[in-house]
Amino acid sequence: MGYLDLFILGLIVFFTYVSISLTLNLEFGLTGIPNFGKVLFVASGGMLGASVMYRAALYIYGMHSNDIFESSPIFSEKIQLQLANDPLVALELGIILIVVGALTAGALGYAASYPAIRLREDYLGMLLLGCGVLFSSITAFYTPVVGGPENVVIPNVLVAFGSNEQYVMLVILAVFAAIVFLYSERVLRSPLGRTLKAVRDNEVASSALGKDNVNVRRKMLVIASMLSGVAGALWVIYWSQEGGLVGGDVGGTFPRLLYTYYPFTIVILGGIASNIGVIIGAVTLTAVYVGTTVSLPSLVETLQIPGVPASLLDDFVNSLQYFIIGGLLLAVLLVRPEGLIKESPAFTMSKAKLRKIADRIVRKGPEPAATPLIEGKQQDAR
Amino acid sequence: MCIGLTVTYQTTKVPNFAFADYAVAGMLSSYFAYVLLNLANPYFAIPIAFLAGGAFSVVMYLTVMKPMIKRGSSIIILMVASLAVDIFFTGVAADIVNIGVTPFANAFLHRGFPTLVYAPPLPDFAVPGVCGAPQTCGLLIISPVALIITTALMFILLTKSKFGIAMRASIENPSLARIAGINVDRVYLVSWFIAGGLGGLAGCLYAIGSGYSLNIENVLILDCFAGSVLGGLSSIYGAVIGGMLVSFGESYIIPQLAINVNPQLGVLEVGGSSMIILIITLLVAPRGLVGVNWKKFALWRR
Repeated sequence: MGYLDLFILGLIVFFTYVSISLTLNLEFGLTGIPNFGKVLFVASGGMLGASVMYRAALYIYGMHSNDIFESSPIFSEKIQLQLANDPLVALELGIILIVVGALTAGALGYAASYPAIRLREDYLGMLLLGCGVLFSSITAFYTPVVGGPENVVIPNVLVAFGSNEQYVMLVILAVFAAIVFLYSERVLRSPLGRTLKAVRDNEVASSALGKDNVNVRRKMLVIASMLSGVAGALWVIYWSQEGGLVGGDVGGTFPRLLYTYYPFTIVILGGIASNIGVIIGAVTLTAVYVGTTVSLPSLVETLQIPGVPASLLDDFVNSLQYFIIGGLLLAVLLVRPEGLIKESPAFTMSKAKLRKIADRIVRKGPEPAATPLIEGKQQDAR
Repeated sequence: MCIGLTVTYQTTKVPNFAFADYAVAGMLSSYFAYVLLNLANPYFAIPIAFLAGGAFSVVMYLTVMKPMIKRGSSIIILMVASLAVDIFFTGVAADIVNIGVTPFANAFLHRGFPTLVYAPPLPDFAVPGVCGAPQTCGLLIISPVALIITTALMFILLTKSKFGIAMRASIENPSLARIAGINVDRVYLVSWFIAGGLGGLAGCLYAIGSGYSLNIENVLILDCFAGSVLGGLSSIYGAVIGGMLVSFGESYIIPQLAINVNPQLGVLEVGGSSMIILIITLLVAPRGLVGVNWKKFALWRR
C-alpha cells in the first residue's frame, strides 16, 4: 500500500469518525444521553439502506431470484456494469441508500427515546447497549434484512467514476462531516445548545424554567440518530467500493468496538461538548487505528525476527491498538478529566460583535441592569 | 459471576464494563497454572484464578475508580472509565500472551502452548456412575456446588459476620458508616476483591467447560449485565436467580427454539437472548425481579 493510498484511507476513516463522534457529542456531550448503542443507529442506517438500495437496483433492472441475497455477487456485478453507463440511476440509488439510512436510524432513535424518558442514565446506557447488540444479532439471523448469515455484495454506486471513485468518496465524506460540524457548532452556539446543557446539568432547574426535558432529549436523539444513519450509509458505499461484504456474522460490518466505544473515546479525549475537541480526538484515534491495523502490519511483514513467527507479530500489532487507545482514554480520564479542550461558555455572537455592543453601552453610559453582566467585556474592550 | 457484578455495583454504583476482564484474568491465570505447575486437575487452579481476579479488581479500584470517585465524576464517566480499562486490558492480555508468554514457554519449557486466542477446553474428570464422557462432566457437579458454596458464604459473610454488617452499612449510607467508625475505604476494597475473585472463579469454571478464548469478555459482559439487571442490581440472591435464568435461556431455550421452530434462531445464542431479557426487564420492571411486588400475583389472597 502506497503512502497516498494510506493517506486517503486515513482521511476516509477520519471523516467517518468525525461525523459519528460529532453526533455522539450532540447526544452525550450536550444532552447527556449516554448512547452506548451508537452502533445500532450507524448499523441500521447502513444495513437497511443497503438492503433497500439493493432491492431497488434489482427492481430497476428487472432481476429476479428466489434468494436475492444468495446470488448477490452475480447480481451486483451485473448491476455495476449497468451503473457504469447510467450515472443518473446510480445517483438515484445513492440517494435511496442515504435517505433510507437516515429515516430508519431516525425512526429507531424515536423508538429509543421512549425509554430515555423513563430511565436513569446508567440504566439507559445499558438499555441502549442491549439494543445495539440485539440489532446486530437480529441482522445476523433474519435473512430479509441483509441476507442474515449470508455475506452480501452490495453494488457500488460510484462505479462510474472508475479509478477516481476513492477521491469522490473522500469529497462526499468530507462534505458530510463539514455539514455535521457546522450544524453542531450552530447548535452549540444557539439558545438550543444552552437548553441542552441545562437539561444535561440540572433537569429540575431546566423544567422549572419551562423547558420540556423529554421533548428536548427526544429531538436530539432523533436528529443525532439520523445523522449517524447517514454516516453508516456512506460507510456502506465506501465498503462496497472496496469489495467488502455487508451482513454475515454478528457485528461483521459494524462491530460494536469501532462504532460505539471508539466514538466515546474520541468525545472524551477531545473534551465533552467541544466540537473542535472531537476533531482533535478523531485525528488521534484515526492515527492509532490506521497505524496499528494497516501501516504497522505491512511494516512488520517486511521485518523478520528469528524464532518469532509472523502471525504472532501480526497479532501483537493488532492488539496494540486496544493497548494504546485504552491507555490514552484512561490517561485522559485520570489526568485531565475535562478532555484536551475544556468546555467553555459558547458565545452566541462573535467576540468582535460582543465587544461592539459593550462599547456602545459604555458610550451611552451605564445601564443599571446590563452593566454587571458585561463588566468583564468592558475591561477587555479597553 | 453476577454476584460479583452486583457487589461492585452496590459499592460504587457503577455498571462495571471491565468485569468480564476479571473472568479473563482468572481464566488465563488458571490456564497457566494448570500447564506450568502440572496440576493433576484444572480445578486445583481455582484459588489462583480467584486471587488473580481479585488482585486485578483491587488494582483497578485503587488506580482508576477511587481517584475518579473522589473527584466526583458522574456515573457515565465512570462507566466509560471501566470501558477504558476493558479495552486496555484486552490489548495487554493479548500482547502479554502472544508476545511475552507463549514464545517463551514454547522455547524454554517445551510445553507447547497454543497461541491463546483460543484453546480447547481442559480435560475434565469423569464421575463414575453419573456420566461417562470426561468432557464437562465434572463441571456439571462442581459448578452448582461452587454456586451454592459462594452463595452460602456470601450469606454468612453479609449477615453473620462483623465485616458483613460493616459492608452493608457502608453500602446503605457511607457517611453515616464513616461516623460510626467504619473504615469505608477498606470495606470497599475488600468487597471489590471479593467481587473480582468471584469473577475470576467464574472465568476459570467457564474455561473448563467451554475452552479458553481471549475474546469472551465481549459476550460474557452482556450476559452478566442481563443477569444482574434481571436480578435487580441490589440483591445478591436476585443476581443468582437472574444469572441462572439468563444462562438457562441462552443454553437451553434458544437451542430448543432453534431445533423446533427455526434453525436461524440459533444465532441469538451469542448475546441476543440475554439482550432481550435485559431490554424487557429494564422496560417492564427496572428494579429487577427483587423489585417486583410478587404478592400482587399471588393466586391466593389472605
